Amino acid sequence: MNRHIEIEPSRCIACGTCMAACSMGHRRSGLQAQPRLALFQSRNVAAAVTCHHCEEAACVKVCPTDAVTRDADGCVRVDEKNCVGCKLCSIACPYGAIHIGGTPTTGVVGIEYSTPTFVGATSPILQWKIGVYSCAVKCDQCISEPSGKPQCVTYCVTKALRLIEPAAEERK
Amino acid sequence: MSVSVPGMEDAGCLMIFGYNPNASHPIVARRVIKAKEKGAKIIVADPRFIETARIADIYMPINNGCNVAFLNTFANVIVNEGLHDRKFIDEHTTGFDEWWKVIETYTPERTKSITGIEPEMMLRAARMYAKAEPSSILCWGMGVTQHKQNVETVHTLAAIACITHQIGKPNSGLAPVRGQNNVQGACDTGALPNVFPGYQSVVDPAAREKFAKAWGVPVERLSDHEGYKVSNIGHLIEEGKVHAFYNFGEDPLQTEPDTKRLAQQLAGLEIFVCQDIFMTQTTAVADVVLPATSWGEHEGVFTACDRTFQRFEAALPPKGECRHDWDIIADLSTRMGHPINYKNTKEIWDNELRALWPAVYGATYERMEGVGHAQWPIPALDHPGTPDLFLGGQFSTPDKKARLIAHEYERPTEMPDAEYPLILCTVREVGHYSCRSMTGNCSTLSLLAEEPGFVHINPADAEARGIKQDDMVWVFSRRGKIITRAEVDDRINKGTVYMTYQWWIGKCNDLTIHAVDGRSSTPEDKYSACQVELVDDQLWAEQHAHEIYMNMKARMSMEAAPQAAKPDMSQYRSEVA
Repeated sequence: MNRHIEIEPSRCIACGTCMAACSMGHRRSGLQAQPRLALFQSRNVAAAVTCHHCEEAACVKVCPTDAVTRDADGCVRVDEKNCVGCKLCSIACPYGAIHIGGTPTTGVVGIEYSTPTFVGATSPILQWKIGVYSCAVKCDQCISEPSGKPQCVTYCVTKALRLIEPAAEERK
Repeated sequence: MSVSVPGMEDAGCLMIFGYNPNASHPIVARRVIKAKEKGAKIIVADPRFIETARIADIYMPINNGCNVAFLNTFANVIVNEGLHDRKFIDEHTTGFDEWWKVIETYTPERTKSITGIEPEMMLRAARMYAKAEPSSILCWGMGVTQHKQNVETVHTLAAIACITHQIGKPNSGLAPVRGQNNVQGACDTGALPNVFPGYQSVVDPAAREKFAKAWGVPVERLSDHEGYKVSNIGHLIEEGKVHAFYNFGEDPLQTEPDTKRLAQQLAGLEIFVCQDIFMTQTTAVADVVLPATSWGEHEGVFTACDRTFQRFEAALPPKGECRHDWDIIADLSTRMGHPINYKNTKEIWDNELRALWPAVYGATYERMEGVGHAQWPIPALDHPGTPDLFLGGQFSTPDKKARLIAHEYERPTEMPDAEYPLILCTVREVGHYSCRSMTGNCSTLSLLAEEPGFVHINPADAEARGIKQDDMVWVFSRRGKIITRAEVDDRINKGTVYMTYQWWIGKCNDLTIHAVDGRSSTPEDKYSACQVELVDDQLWAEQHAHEIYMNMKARMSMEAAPQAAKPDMSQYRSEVA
C-alpha cells in the first residue's frame, strides 16, 4: 500500500476548505495555485477527490518529458518546470485527478486584462487562454510544506480527510 | 438560540428547517455531523436536497413558500396523534384552545397540495421529533426569516417546541442560527431601531431615564419612539422622510432587494455617509467615505448566535487613514457636541454594556481573556453563564408561561405565472461570505468561485431551455435582467432557481421583489418570480460579462483613488532590513 489521502464521504460537508488550503499552500511555495483536489457532488455523495498515487500510474507512463515521476516515497509528482503542457497525463488519468493550470500574463506584460476565448462549457482539457503557458497540476502530498503534512488533511474541518501512512516495510 | 451550539451534539433529534448549515455555517454543520455520529436522528425539511439531507433520517422535500402551512400541519399531526405533552402545556403555556382552533383545520391530507408532503411522512417526522430522547432541537435559518410570514413561522416553531415539551430542558428548544457573524452582538448592543443595549425598549420611561443618566444627557434628548428599519430606507427617502443615511459596514446595493430601484432612491439623499473597509458599489456612490478597520486590525467582542461572548484581539495596527469603528463614532459624536472619550473597547464594554445591562454583568474582559468566553445571561461575576434558556419551563413572560400563537397560512407576494414561471430563491454558498466585499478580494477564494456567479437550475428546467452546465444564461424578472452562468443541479427542486446574493454581474438582487413583512420589515428574499433563457451567442456572453466586471473594478479603484492614503510601511521596511 502507498501513502495516500482518504476521504470519509459521510463526514464531508462540501465546504471547500481543503481546496482553499491546497491552493494557499502551493501558492506559498511558488507552485501553481490551482487546487489539486476537486469536490465531487452528486445527489447522494459529496467528497473531495484527489490523486490515488496509483501503483502503475498511467500519467507516469505517458509523460513524454519525464516531468511526471514516482518519487522514492511512492508519491507521483509533476515537476512543474519540466512540464510542456501537453495534457496527455490529464487525459490518461482514470480519476480525473490531473488539472490543467497555468500562469496568466495579464497584469505582467502590458496586457491589462484577458479576453475570454472559449465558452464556459468547454472541457477543461480543451480550454486555452492567450499567453498562458499551461502546466499539469496534481497532488504532491505537500512535499514543499515545512510540516510535510498535506494541507487539505490539516485544515479539513470535520476530519473527513485522512492521510494513510503505510508501515515502513509495506512501502517496499 | 435557547440552546448552545455545542449542546446540539447531545440532542436526540435535530430538525433542520429552512437552514443549510453546510453553506451558511460549516462550524455548526460540524456539530450536526457529530450529533449524527453520537446517535441523534436528523430531520431535514427543505426544498433543496442540501448536504445535511444526505445524512438525514427523514428528508422532507417541501415546496417553496409553504412554511406556515407546513408547520401548522406538523403541529396538527402532533396533537391528533397524541404526541403532545398535556401536562407541560397546562403548567407552562397559555392560549392552547385558541391556538388549536387555527391548527385543527390543517390536516396533512388538506395541506398536501401546498406543502408537497405525504401525510405518512408528516406523521413519521412528527413522531421522531416529538418523542426523541433526551431532547429535540428545532434549527432554522433564513429559509424561515426571509419570507413574508417570517414572524408567523417563528411563532409556530416556538409553539411546536412548547406543546411537545422539547424546550425548557437541557439541549432542547429553538436554534435560529443567525445570518452573519455578530448579528447577535449588534442586536445585544442595541443596534436596532427599537431598543437600547440589552433589549431595553426605547419607549420604556424607566429605560430612557436610565440611559439618559448614564450618557449624561437630558431625557428629552433621547428619541421617544421607535426608529426606521434599514429595509424601508428606500421608500422613506422617496416619501421625503429620510434625508441623511449613515451606512455602516453594509453594501445595500448588493444585498437589499430590487437594487436598481434602491440606487435611484439613494440618489435622493441630501447626504450619504458610508463606513466600510473596502470600496463597494454602495460606498462608490457615497458623499463621504469613512475608512474603518477589519477584524484582524481591531479588538472587541463578538456574540455568537447562542449568546456566547468571545473576545478577540488585533493582529495588525490600522493602516493609512483607517480608524477603528468605535473611534470614528466617538469622534463624530464629540464633533456633534456630545463628547465621548473612551480609550479602548474594554472601557466601552464595562461602561456601556456591563453597567447598563444587568444580565451580562459577569462577562468581564478578564473572564474572556485568551480563548475564554461568557454566555449570557451571566448576571454575576461568579455566575457560570447560561447555555440553556427557560430551564424548568420558566419563560421570559410576566407569568413565566409561554404564549401559544397560531396563524393562518398566506401565499407569497409574487407567485410564478406564464411570463415568469420560475421561483427565484436567494441563498448562500460556502465559497464567499455575504456580499463578498471582503472575500472577493481574496485571490484563493476567487479562484474557487468567480464572476459572473451561478444560477442553480434543476436538470429538467435546464433541458427544457436547452441549457447545459456552465452555459451563460439570462435571468430576468419584473425588476431587471442579468447575465450569469448555469449550474445544473440535481439537488434542487424543479420550478425553482437558486442564486447567491454576492455576485456583481449575476446579481440576483436586481431581480428580487421588494416586499417586507409588517412586523420585522425583513425582505421576502426567498420568493420572487423569474424566467431563465440561454444566451444565443455564448462567446459574446463570456466577453460581455468579463467586460462589465473589468469596468466595475476600474470604477471602484477610481473611486478609491482620492482616498488612498500612503500606508505606513515602516514596520515592513524594518522586516526587509
